[in-house]
Amino acid sequence: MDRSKSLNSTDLINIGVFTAIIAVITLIVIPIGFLPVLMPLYCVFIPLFSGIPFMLFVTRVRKFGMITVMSILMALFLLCTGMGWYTLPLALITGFIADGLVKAGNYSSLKLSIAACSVFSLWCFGSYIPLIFMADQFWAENAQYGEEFINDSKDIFRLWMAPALIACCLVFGALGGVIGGRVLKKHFIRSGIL
Amino acid sequence: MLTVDRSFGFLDPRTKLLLLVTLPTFLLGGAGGEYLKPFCMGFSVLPFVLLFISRNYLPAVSGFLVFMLMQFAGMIIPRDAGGLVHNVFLILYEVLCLLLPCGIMAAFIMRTTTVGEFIAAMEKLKVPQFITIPFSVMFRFFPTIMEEYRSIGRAMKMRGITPGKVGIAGFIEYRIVPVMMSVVIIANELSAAALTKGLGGKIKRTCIHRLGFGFADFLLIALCVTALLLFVLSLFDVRLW
Repeated sequence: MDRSKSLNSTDLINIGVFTAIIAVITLIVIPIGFLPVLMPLYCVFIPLFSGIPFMLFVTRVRKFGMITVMSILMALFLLCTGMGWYTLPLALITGFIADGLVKAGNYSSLKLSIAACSVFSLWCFGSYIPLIFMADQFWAENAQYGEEFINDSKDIFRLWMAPALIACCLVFGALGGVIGGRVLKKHFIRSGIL
Repeated sequence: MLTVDRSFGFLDPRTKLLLLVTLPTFLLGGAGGEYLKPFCMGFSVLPFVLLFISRNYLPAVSGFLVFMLMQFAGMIIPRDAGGLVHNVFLILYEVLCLLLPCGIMAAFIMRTTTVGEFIAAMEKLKVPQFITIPFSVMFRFFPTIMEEYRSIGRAMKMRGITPGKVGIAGFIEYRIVPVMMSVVIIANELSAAALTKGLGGKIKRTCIHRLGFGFADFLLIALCVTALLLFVLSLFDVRLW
């Protein structure tokens, strides 16, 4: 095992693999957004389901920066799916904090890993930024969705929705982390895959 | 399923990367709105043109026909009609004319680009390695994950494990955990393979792929850059028409 501080190719491959899993989960969840009423539920399902891969990923993290890189990749992935660049600065900050949390626990504390999972999940909020803070401009550009869809969405995404969604990300991220931790203990540690 | 021959990767990977970002920005992100509608239409048709050039005549022609049909329907159905017909039309339009081209484009790019080409292109663009390697692994892994997921789904079905029997939470556990297990094993193998290929070493890697822009590349890059420029200008209220 390479003990140097910088990320080596094994780390980078691990990042790629787990980012791919979380990206697939995101792709599976995205179609529920066809009904605007269900759109805020992204912040519930994505953190909840990505808890298991994320916790498994954290067990393979031994260096500072891995979660930051993962967050950047998620943001780039969202860019490739047309969600805009707004996630990128957000993901940089949350990824950095999550990295700090895991490092503070010396890469072995379950509680701090769960906290990191919860902070990492905030990237979900990135795609809502234009919906909430730049609603008029955003919907002017997306007129093809039709009046009804836009009005429904405008009704839902008021300004108070922002803290609610952030809280949602944090809570369900933590819940996903707890579930992930349990699954880890139940399956992966026992079968010796870790 | 697309059956794109590898030798038909006639576009430079850098062009493909640009398309991969530009297409969804305009089609799914709806950048520019009504103002850049002509560009959007062009981008919707583009994947079918590429399919046609790479000799996938049937999907290309049928996709193009569906697109024309939807445009025609859009002319017949009045915009402000409301009601069920209009909503169904909007959903269909969304899926067939906006989502489908992006999906086809992504699939086309993934089929025609080898990992080696991709990494070579990224290195030429001076993207740091900590982005290049995970990104190429990601692209390589999408099909693998889907395949594993399907196989495990079949195995579960054979053993009679359904959401009704084990509960929804249990069902998700039965599905996700085996996928993760096999993916972790594949990841370990991949790291070993990458190590033998010298990926992540300190010495600059040489590369067998010769990358260069052709006529088609210049055409598409010009198209994308124009569209993006017009979009950025329109943000500052500079409009040509």
